Amino acid sequence: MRSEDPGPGPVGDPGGVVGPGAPGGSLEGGGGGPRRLHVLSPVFFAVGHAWRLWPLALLVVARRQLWLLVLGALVLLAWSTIEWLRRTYELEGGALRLEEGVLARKLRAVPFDRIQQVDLVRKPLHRLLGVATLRVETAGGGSAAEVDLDVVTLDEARALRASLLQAKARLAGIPVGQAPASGGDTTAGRAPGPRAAGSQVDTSVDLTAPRAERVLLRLGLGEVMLAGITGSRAAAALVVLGPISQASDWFPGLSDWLFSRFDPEAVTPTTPAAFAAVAVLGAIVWLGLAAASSIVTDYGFTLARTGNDLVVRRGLLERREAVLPLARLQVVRIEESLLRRALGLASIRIQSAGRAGRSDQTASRLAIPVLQRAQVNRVLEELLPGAAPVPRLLLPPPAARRRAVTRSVVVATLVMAAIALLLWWLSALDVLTVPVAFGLVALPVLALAMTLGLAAYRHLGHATREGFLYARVGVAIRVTTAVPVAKAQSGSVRSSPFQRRAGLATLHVDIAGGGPTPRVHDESEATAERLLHVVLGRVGV
Amino acid sequence: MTEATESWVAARELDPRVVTVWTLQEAIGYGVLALLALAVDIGARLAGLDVPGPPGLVAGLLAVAGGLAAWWVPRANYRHWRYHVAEDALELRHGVVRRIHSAIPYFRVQHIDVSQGPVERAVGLARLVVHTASAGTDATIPGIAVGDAEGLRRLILARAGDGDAV
Repeated sequence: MRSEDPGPGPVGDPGGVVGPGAPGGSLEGGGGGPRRLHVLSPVFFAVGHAWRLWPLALLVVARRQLWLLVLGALVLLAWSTIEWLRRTYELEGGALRLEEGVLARKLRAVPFDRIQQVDLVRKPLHRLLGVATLRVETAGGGSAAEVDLDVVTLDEARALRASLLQAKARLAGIPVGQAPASGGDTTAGRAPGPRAAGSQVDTSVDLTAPRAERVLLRLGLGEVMLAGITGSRAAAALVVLGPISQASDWFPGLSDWLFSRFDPEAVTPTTPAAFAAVAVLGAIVWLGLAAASSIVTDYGFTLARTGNDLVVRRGLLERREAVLPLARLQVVRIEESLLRRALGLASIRIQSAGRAGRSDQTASRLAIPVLQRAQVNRVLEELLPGAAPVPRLLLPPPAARRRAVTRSVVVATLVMAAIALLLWWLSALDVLTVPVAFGLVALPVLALAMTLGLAAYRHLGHATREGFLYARVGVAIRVTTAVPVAKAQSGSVRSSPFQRRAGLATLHVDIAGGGPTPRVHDESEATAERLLHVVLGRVGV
Repeated sequence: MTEATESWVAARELDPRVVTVWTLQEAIGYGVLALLALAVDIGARLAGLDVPGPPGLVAGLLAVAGGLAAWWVPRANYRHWRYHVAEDALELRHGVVRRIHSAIPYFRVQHIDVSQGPVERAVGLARLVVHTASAGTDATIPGIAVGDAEGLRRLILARAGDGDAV
């Protein structure tokens, strides 16, 4: 298995780090063939497995079958040992290779220059035994570290980390020591761990110099309230009202006390005018709650730009600040609900990728709760330079209109058929009598479904312009997405049998970080394929 | 490298042995389901519940339907699978009901896995899984001969180029 030559990998730096005491050979020469983890690794594997099997262990202990526990531990240890024997890693061919698996085998290859982060983790037990876990992360979309070497000797871990960072730095043409990948010790536990000599501090940013801040958008109190009233908080306010209406359950004496004070006959609305008054009052309380909750979270919303960072500050009681480097911003979504469209308002959401390509929590904190539609293009230009103004979007071909209307009508018909069946069944059981003429209701419902289908078609659209792809979808909430083509990771054209019959397809654009996949719905197959070429950067836009 | 480059130029079908792998996997899945149904059926009868139909009816139907599906689905899937190692991107076309044509530019590739389940190991096949920074990327090529998978992995990584690809 061992290769004689050092391999083509650039790891073999003559001034490189030699991992003394590494099991199965040193790092010298970079290649050196596949190596196993530390001999103690099976113990850590077994502990990991046992951790997942604790309910079983508890059961066995409860039944006082200690011999079974011992047997189980031995089996686990044996299995872990086989796992350890079947797990090797290697620096070869410009990549970190990891081979593992007893029954199912997996070979993973991580190119050095894709490595984003190399972490050395030492838990108390690790420190006691002089070992460490080395975690290597790329910008991959998964949630766990791509490579987890659990465990290697501390020296080996440090040497590996140094080699990986050095190889990456050399490939990126950056002088060693300023590699963008972080290499800090993550020391778990309280005891002060030995700081690695290789730990780096990013010196490229001068933190002391104050940077000029430019405010892009500031929301006044009225706008923040408007955001709550017109947004999803208005629906959420119902959730708050619910518990209040049930307060009488929590305070049994409350309603008696209220009844003694107010005559229920006088309070209960009897005339239409009183009904209207109660309804208006309820609506005011409801909207007030929505506005209040919006004020609490978004009071003094300020979007600003500092250097190459976006900064958002918001909050009444707790002032929150979120910062996002503009380079990490992936996609901007302009959302307009029916109500907000009527009022000339919109909101903006952004999607960003975290340091390691994962979804980023700051993105949700950077959402702009509400803004005038007239300001959308100005803000979009600040978020994605060159993206504004949103161009005129092209409607999909007429086949998409037929499909939208047909789909809407078919769904409405199916729902009505289900309701009709239920009513017929209840009538047959003599629970209630429904006049046959009631079936006439189906006609306006079908007309409505047809209108909605047409509206759904009219709200679809896409456009391409100078490195950007725009896509729009949605009637109740119309979402216009601006995707920088340079941020697309991959793309696909997908079609269902119905779409194929109509000659249509949908384009998906895969973006780093979590969030909905930007899509161009129901375009002609030819257009979707052409857009895929655009996404791949094969043709300019 | 040129030799390897040449050999991947045209769109390729999967290795025919993948049909065996898929058939076996589907059959095992439906078999387990049928056995479970049989166990529930027998259990209910032993418990004295009134189960309509002769014993093992549901399990039998499941076994027949599963057998048909295990025969047909892998073959249909195989017929619709093509992958193409194009100049700048890996392109896959697959799907029977929902057709998918996906393309992954090499320079977006973060890392590559070559995986084998027990059945795949027995017949000498592997799955090539290409990861990008997006979790939504659809880039698994099932059913490549192990040697080919290794060659393809090297080819893709060689074309992936430098940088962090985000």
